[in-house]
Order: sequence, then structure tokens, then C-alpha cells
Amino acid sequence: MTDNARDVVMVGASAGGVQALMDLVGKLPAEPPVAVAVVIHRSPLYETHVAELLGRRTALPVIEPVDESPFEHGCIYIAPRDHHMRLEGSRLRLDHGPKQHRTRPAIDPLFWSAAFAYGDRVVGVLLSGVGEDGVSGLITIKSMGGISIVQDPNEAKFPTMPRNAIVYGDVDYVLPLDGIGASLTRLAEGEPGGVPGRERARRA
Amino acid sequence: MNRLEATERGTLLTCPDCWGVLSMRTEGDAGHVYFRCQIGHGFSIESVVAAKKQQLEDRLWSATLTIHEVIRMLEEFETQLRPLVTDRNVIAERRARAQRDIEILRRLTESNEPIAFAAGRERARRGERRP
Repeated sequence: MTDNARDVVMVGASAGGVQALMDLVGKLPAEPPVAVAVVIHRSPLYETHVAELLGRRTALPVIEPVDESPFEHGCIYIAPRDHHMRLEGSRLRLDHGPKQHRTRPAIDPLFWSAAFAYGDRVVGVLLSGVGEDGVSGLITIKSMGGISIVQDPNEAKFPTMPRNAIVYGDVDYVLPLDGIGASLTRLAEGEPGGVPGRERARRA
Repeated sequence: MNRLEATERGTLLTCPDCWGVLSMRTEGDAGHVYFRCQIGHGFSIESVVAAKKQQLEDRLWSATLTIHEVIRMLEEFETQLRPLVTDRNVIAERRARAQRDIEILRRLTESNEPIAFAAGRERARRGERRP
């Protein structure tokens, strides 16, 4: 692995997120391999088979982990309903702890835990959604040396969550889904995550 | 249970999810506000306001229910109350007042609408930081 390789990819999505994720999983780098964890806001009561839906769009395994599942390269892990998912060392932990923004699974716990566990290897990605879940998480990822990417609000079905991240976080890249895939590949290779034709994000 | 960190300060707000005490901190260069209670429930400004609006609605319904119960008791126990009540009109008036109070609460519930946060969205759309 090269020095600056960012191979730990954390993805958060809310409303409109299933479609965005279905587009994104097909664009994730297979080489170099990355380890991907995803929280999408989902019903606590009803099984929505998100892992299955995503599994159809990628050759990489899409897994709903159990508590203490290993977190491995070349796999996509998606938080099961009604549980927070966190990274602890090389394992995924599930808990039924206090909701964040009245939501469980929530994006912040995953992002916070990844920032502390993996520091500058982390890329945090925030996609379509409403509210501010994930904003604190992205700030923490940045503070521990990671990189932050948000879906371009002009493309996102629900642009509020990416916009909130741009206002409050220190977002490195604002990209459409196509660009996010390319950026993640470059970051995994230890290169900067800029995509030709897109400027690095700046706050006004 | 959480302790207050050096960067946090207490607020006078109660946690919408467990009625604990909310502390707040700011994070990042743009001063993102984050609330947390002793148990660990976390909120942004937007989600705590939304949760408080829900709390208000729940409590308005609780108040409505309580008034219904008062009316029910006055009606069901009218016979037993007769020796105590010198003026039969007292109960009738109390019942009429209760119906008016229920109507007031119903109108409050109807008008308890979500806050649009439009100004914040407009700033965000222009890519501005909070002042």
C-alpha cells in the first residue's frame, strides 16, 4: 500500500440515497481494493432488502454484518435496520444505542468511529438526503486527517444534507456520482482525489 | 452515562428522547452546533427543533386526553356527585368549558407546523458560511 492510500471508505445517505447508492456501488474501485461501510437511513420496522438491491449493481459482495464481523477490503458493508454500525479496530460493531437525530442507523456514529480507528486512511462520502446527520461525522473525519466528499447538490435528489455539509464542514470535493467513483480510485492509489474538469471545493 | 467535556456547555433544554439534560458544543471552523444528553442522544439544531415540535404535539394530545377524562368522570359519577354538588349547573358549565378547551387545543395542534428553515437553506444554496 502506498503511503497516502485512502482505502477506508465511509458512505452516508438518507432520502434519495438508495438510488444514489445503486449508481455509486457500480463505480467503486475494485483495484486497488477498498473497504466500504455504508449507512443509509432506513425503516426500523420493515425489511427493505437494501443489501440485495445494491448487490445486483456490483460484483463486490454487499453484506449486512452481524456484531463483530471483520471489516475487509473488497467488500461493502451496509448497516442493518435499527442498529448503529461502528468501526472498532478491524471489526464492525452493531448496537441498539441512543438514536442520533432520532435515527438508527445514523451516519455520525459510523463516521466518528472510522475517524478515530483509521485517521488519514478514511474517505467520508455524504450523498443525497435531508437534515444534518453526517455533518458532525465529516468534521471529525477531517480533523483526524481524512478526506471528505459530498454529492453535488445540483445532482442529488435531496440536496439538503450535502449542502449542510458544505456550509458546516470542510468539504474537499463536491462531485457528481460519476466523479465520486473516479475520485475514490485515485484516493485509494494515494493520489489526490481531484477529478479533471472539477475544481476542489471552496467555501464562500 | 456521559460527562460534560471541556468543550461542552450545559443548556436549559431537555432531551426530546429521554428528558435528560442537553449539553451543546460547536465543531469545525464554521461553528456547527451539536447537542447531546447524558444518555447519548444526539441532535443538530434542526433535529432538536423538529423533535421539540413533536414533543409539543404529543403533550397537546395528552392535555386533550386529560380534559376528556375530566368530562367522563363528571358524567359517570354524576349520581355519586349529587350530594356534594349544590348547584347542578356547576357540572354542566364545567363540561361546556372543557369542550371549549378541547377546541382550543385542537386549533393549537393544527397550527403546530414544522419550521421551514428557509433562510438557512437559502444561505446554504449560495454556499455561504453561517455568520
